[in-house]
This record gives sequence, C-alpha cells and structure tokens, in this order.
Amino acid sequence: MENQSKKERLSLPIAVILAGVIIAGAVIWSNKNNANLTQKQLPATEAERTENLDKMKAISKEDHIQGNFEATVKIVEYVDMECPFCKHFHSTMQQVMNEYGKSGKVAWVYRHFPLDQLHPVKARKEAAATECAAELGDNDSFWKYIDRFFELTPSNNQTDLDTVLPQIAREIGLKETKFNSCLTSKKYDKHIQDDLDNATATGGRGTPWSIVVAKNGKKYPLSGAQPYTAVKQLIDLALQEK
Amino acid sequence: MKVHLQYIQQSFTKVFAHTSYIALASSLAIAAFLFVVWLPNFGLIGEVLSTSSAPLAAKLKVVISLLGGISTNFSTLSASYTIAIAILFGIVVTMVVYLVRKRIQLGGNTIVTGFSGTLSGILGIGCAACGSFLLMAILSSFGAAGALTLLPLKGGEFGVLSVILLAFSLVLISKKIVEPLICKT
Repeated sequence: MENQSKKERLSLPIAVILAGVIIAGAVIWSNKNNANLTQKQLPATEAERTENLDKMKAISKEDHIQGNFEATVKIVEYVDMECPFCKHFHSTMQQVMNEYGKSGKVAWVYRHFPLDQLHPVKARKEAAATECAAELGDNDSFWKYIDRFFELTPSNNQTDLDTVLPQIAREIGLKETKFNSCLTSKKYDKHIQDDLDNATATGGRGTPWSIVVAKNGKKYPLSGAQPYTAVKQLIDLALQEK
Repeated sequence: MKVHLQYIQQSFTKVFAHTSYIALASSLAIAAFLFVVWLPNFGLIGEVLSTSSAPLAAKLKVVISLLGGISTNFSTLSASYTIAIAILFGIVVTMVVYLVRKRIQLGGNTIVTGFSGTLSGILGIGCAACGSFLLMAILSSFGAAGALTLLPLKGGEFGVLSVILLAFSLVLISKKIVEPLICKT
C-alpha cells in the first residue's frame, strides 16, 4: 500500500522529467538532422551550423542575380517552386527589391532547392524551365519567367505543367519549340542538383531557405517565409555590419 | 459535454482566482508560443545576438520582427493549432502545479494524456515552411520523410491531435480539482 502511494507520488515528477528529456532530445535531433532531404548527416551545434553557412557556393556572375552585383547586402534564396511559402516569400522579396534594389544596396540571388519528397517531379521540372528561360532569353527572361510562374501556380503539386510552363515561355517571348526541347533535354539536372546539395550543406531544412550576406562576408541564415518587416530589419542590421 | 464544461469552469474559478497561477499560465503559454515561432530561426537569433557588430536595438528589432512569421510562415491551420497548443499547454501545466501543491493525486490517465498531448504537439511543431516540420526531421533520419506526404494535412495531424489530447487532459485535471477527495464505493 505504501509502495503504491510512493509510486503515485513519483509518477508526476518522472513524467515531467521524461517530457523535458524528450523535448530537449527532439530539438537537438531536429538541429542535428536539419531535416536534410538527401539524408546526409549535418553538424548539430550552433557553432557548426554557423560554419555550414561558409559552405555556401560563392556568388558569381553565373548566378541568377537581380540588382547590383556589387550590392552591400546580398540575399541568396534557395527555392522550391511548388512550395506555397516560396510563392508568398517571392512577393516579399519583390518588395525588398523595390525598396533596396534600385539604390543598389541589396541584390537577390536565386538558387534551386526542389523538395522531391513533397513535390516530386514538378519542382525539378519547373526549376529546369527557369534555366531554359535564361538560356533562350537572358537574365531578365529568367526573372520574368519566375515572376509569372508564381502568379499562376496554385502550388502544392497542383500546377498543370503541360499548360503553364509553355504558356509562360510564350508570354515572355521565347520560342516554344526550343523551350520544350530544352525542357526535355535534362541538361540542367546537374546544375539543379548542385544547388540543392549546396542548400542542404549550408543547413537548409526546408523552403524558402535564405542566406543574407553582409559586405564584410558575415552570413545570416533565414528560414521560412518571414514577413517583410523581419527581412527589412535583417537587411538594416546587415547594412550596419562593419 | 455540458458536465465537462462545468468541470472546466469550476476548476478555472478555483485555480485562476490566484493571480500567481494566471501569471504562471500566461508565462508558460507565451514561452511555448515564442519557442515554436522562433524555432526555425534559432540559428539566426543566436547569430544576431552573439556575433553581429550592429547596435543592440537593431538586434532586438530583428528578433521581435520574426514573431510576425506566425502570419506568413504558418498556414491558417498550423497557426491556429500552434496558438491553441501554447494556451492549453500553459493552462494544463498550471493546473498540474495547482494539483501538486494541493497534494491531489493526478492519476495515470491524466499524466498519460497530458504527456501524449505535449509529445504530439512537439512532433507537429516547426514552422510550416515546406519540409521543416520537426517530425520530418525525425522521419528523414529513417528515410521516411515521404510518408508525411501521404497524410492529408502533411503532418499537421499531429498538431490537431495534440490539441485534442491536451483538451482531454484539461477535462481530466478539471475533474480532479472539482471533485472532492472521497473514497468511492
């Protein structure tokens, strides 16, 4: 009887401790695995996570860049084109470029991060379509293609690729036959995979995944479709980096 | 159902008559909410607060502005259950503290339900940006992240389940608080 009472008295603190251990474990596990979609092991600690940002592929003129290449702050965004949060964040970034892009303070660098588990086939094909737009047109065509795509897509695997992809190509003045031929060639598969690998190597755990780079090279990770105010505050902070 | 609501109402009257318990429940709910909204950007917050050379005011502005992510980085469903989980978590834990201080035995069912609700909530949290649910981190370790896509709410089920379990736990705890300590025949 006394033993039973003792057990009951102990059950609550044990449950609380167990819950604490599980919460801590889950958070550590989350950081450790970084929800990496290629199942590579990524470092667990914050220090190591910061170092991961240094694995970001250097920004070069081969990147798709909107704004001044010599801008004080550069925002590298890794995007899954079927992700509804990327669609939302795209308009946030357009707002950023309206405010900071024209003065040359901020440049927007666009990279691919198709999440195969969530958006199989479609996200990669859409990424390839943007590359084809850049090849058959120019850097402006690339951005026009993406802007129009995010206007049209309902996201979450509901985009009708056969209709939407060639339609945008036509609308921005690309030759449809060449565009379709480029799209089926798979010539950009490696480039897209390289971007994806780089996103996960830098600690990307989902999309949109962005890295804000200050003039002095300091990098800030930004996860998710954060509101314009948050992005603006982060840009203002990065602009103050000496 | 009506009886359950009466239990909750009466237990609230008992527990939250004390401002200290209101303060505790509010603090826990706010802490849980902040934890969930900031979770995807703990790395950024750490980076901004520890290594940035910018003024403190600029650092704090970044941290506070990230709270706006609840409206842009969560779907309506996930934002709703995130807020509900935070509030229920604060209330349930506060009522458990009340019970402990009053030396009322909780009972196995109450502990199991409250514990399951919290655990389920943990699995369902994470910003709703594509692919960053905490559960996906765990599943991807086993190469099973794709399993989430089979669920209609893509993992949000755990958040909903958590709200249900925490609400159930709240009813059980309320009953314990309201019912006097009697030996049933």
